[in-house]
Amino acid sequence: MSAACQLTTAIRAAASDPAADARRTVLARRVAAGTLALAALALGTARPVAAQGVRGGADSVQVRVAGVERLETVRDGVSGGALVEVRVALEHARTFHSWPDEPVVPAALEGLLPIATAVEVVSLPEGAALESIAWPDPVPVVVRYAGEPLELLSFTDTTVARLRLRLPADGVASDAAARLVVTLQSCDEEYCYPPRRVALEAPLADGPDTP
Amino acid sequence: MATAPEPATPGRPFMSVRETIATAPFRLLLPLLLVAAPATAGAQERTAPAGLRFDPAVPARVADDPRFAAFLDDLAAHVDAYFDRRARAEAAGATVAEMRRIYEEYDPAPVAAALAPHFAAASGDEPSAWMLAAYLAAPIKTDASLARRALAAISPDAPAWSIDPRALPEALGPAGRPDEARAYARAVADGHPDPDVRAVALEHLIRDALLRDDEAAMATLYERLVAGHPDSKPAARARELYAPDRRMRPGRPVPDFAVAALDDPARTITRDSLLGRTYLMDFWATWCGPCITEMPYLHAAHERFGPHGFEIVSLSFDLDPADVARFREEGRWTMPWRHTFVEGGIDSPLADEFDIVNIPRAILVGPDGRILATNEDLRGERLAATLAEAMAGEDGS
Repeated sequence: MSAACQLTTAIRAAASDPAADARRTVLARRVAAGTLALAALALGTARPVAAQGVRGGADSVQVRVAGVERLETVRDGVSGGALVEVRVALEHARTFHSWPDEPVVPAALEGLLPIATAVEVVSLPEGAALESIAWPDPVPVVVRYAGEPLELLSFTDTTVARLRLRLPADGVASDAAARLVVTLQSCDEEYCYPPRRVALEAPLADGPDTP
Repeated sequence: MATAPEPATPGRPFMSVRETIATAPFRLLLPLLLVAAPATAGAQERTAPAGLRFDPAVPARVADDPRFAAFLDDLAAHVDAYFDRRARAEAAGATVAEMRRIYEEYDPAPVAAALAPHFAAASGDEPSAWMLAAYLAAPIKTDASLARRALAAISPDAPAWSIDPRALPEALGPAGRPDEARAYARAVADGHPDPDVRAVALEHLIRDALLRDDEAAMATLYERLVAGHPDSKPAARARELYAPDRRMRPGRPVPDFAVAALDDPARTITRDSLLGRTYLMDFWATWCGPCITEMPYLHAAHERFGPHGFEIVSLSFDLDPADVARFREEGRWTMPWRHTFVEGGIDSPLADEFDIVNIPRAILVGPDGRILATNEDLRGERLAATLAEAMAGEDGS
């Protein structure tokens, strides 16, 4: 099926599916997600496609700053400036997954030393502070490493971490940025790739949201 | 003759469809993304029923068909039942062997029988083909009768095969009729509109040719796959497993290497020091799930063939060699064989020399220093069979 045909089909399905029951809701959600992915493809910002065998699996998960948003500009009764949310997106290529921020190792993998997905704030503008980092719940992914299905709570598809930063009351310079490092280790259904550390920079100055 | 690359299908890279051989003892590594509602607790706590998710290939008229929706409900319930059983066993402290037995003893026939009314209700209609394809894609064992039914009911160019790349091989393999499966795969490879599905069919045909020792057909199909679908996963696997000029292939000498023994850094393990022995080079790491699932097979092989001269050299791609010691001391797998630590891991010269881009990877080397088998033939239950063949007459069997 061509991409265009898929796109058409997906849009049609997404538009016509009222998600009357839970199963169809799941299906519809998937269809809608596919629609967005394909729409992104049309814009040249597609969900990553991993080429099997790339050394280190660098293409298995694309990591980027997905947005920076000012949540509030005044903090009542407390000194400090704007509260800013930095969204870091981990976009897994299809079939790939990574351990979540709090890995749960199933009995079948006893002994495994998981590499948790993490985001570390390396540096912030002077006076700024990290308030919180929130990860979504992991989802069960079924793999068949050695034939039998095994369920792993994982990050897969697009996973977004939300970092809340409190900026100083007197604002930040126009080139202010938060420097972050994301650690992750991904696998597909057959192989695993080594842990990676990806450096990111999130602009914090006033202005429109970073897309 | 060069074949022009076929247009890729953006957004639909290949999922793994490794197991397409009817005679394989088990299906190795078929991926399956069975997605449940987001879980908030541990792996043993399944808080919500699973939902099956597919690519946006399912047409709206099928997705909206109440028969298809009802079928998905039932199918998901059967998949859930299987995983719930596993979760309960795991929560009760089942051993790895007991967990594995749940899978081995799983009988797909009752599920096939329970789903039969759905197929009957939609027989001949478009949703029927999508139901069968969805069944084949689900992460439970495939019933042979339904595999045969799928090949009979779904035409080789049917869009339903696009529901998931694993659906087609799940029909071709378990159907248990290699000649019919071959003919069907050829028809798919020649006429299916989805290049991803065509690539999967070509991969099946390559494996089929390999099993029949038809090297000419294999070479032709290989060229067709890698040239026509260069960015697909089947092509990537084919390059690794079937490329005529691949470095790590049976019959070629294993690259020279010299690594420090982890237990005794003063001792160096080299290719020459292992001449005269049959040994397995096991590239792994403690953070690698599929590496850990190989442990029972590696230990069993070591126990069975070790007394007859077989050796294992595990080469760790961990971040810290201490992780290997911790794994062996604290976990259930002692790995009582030779170990080394690959400084630099995947970026090391050794990884480059052995074409290691990810793990687990395994290479079986014979007494003359030549490669006997690689990767797929050395994973899971196939390891014992490959070793038995390699060490025929030496293991007392």
